[in-house]
Amino acid sequence: MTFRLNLQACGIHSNQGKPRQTKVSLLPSPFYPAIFNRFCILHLKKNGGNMRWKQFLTPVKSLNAPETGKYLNDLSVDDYNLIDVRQPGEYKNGHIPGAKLIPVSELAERSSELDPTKPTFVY
Amino acid sequence: MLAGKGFPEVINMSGGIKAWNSDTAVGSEDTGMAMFSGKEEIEEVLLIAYALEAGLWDFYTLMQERVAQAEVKSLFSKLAAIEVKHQDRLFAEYQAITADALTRAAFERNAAVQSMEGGLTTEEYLALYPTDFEVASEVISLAMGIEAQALDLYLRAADNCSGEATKQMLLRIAEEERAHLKRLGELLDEIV
Repeated sequence: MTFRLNLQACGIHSNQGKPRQTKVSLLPSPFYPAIFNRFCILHLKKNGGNMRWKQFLTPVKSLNAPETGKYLNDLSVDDYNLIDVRQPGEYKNGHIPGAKLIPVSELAERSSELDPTKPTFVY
Repeated sequence: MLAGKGFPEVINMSGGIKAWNSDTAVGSEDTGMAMFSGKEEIEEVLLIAYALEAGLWDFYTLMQERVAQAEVKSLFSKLAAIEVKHQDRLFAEYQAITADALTRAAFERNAAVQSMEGGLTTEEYLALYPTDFEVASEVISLAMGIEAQALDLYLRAADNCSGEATKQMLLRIAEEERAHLKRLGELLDEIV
């Protein structure tokens, strides 16, 4: 799967002021290409063009809701991170008990609030 | 994103909250948190938890008197008894860590809050979970909703707590709430 990122759209230009593009090849990913592309652009804008590719290339496990429930029940409440990445209004209407609200837009800067050594469930 | 920030085990729950068929809690991050500043000593946390259990015991006892069906009366009695056991354990914890512990009667007098377990009032719970109080399965569902709320509240309070010992106590209470929720689920399976 190939993504073409328009870096000029991110406000990033070459020294000559010419439009820059980069081509990124990835293995099939759970992200839809358009969403992924948009995410990359936002990330590049925020980080001044420094793309941390590792975060997109590290495999993320996926479990369905019953499997997640069973997994959580088999752990003690202090042995996992459970993150609700939706917006506050959605969280307010109903969330998994004990889920910590960190909207996806804040996840990068607030990841230090979590213990990275614990399994981290995200929904 | 997290995977690239040193989180080796990140699990995405496919389907999100819509696929979650188990219990949920409602309310914003600060729902019920007026009771927990994050700076409480362990004794204070135990007192609050005890008061919340007492609030729920009052509710179950009152409902036991009001309902007509014998099966539901018995169920409310069972639920109230579970709350008493919970209170017993909280008081035992209090005695174990306090050198100059109050008597149970004095401890109970100090434990006075306006909410039930989970941090909501009776009216708020009934608005959230409209319940036919003559149907046992609906009563258990309400009880499970309250326990889910309690589990959520204690975990949020633990997350917000600055003292490690108090935090561990809140996590222990949360674990008990989770076990209680599981028992209620089994009870529901028995009657439906």
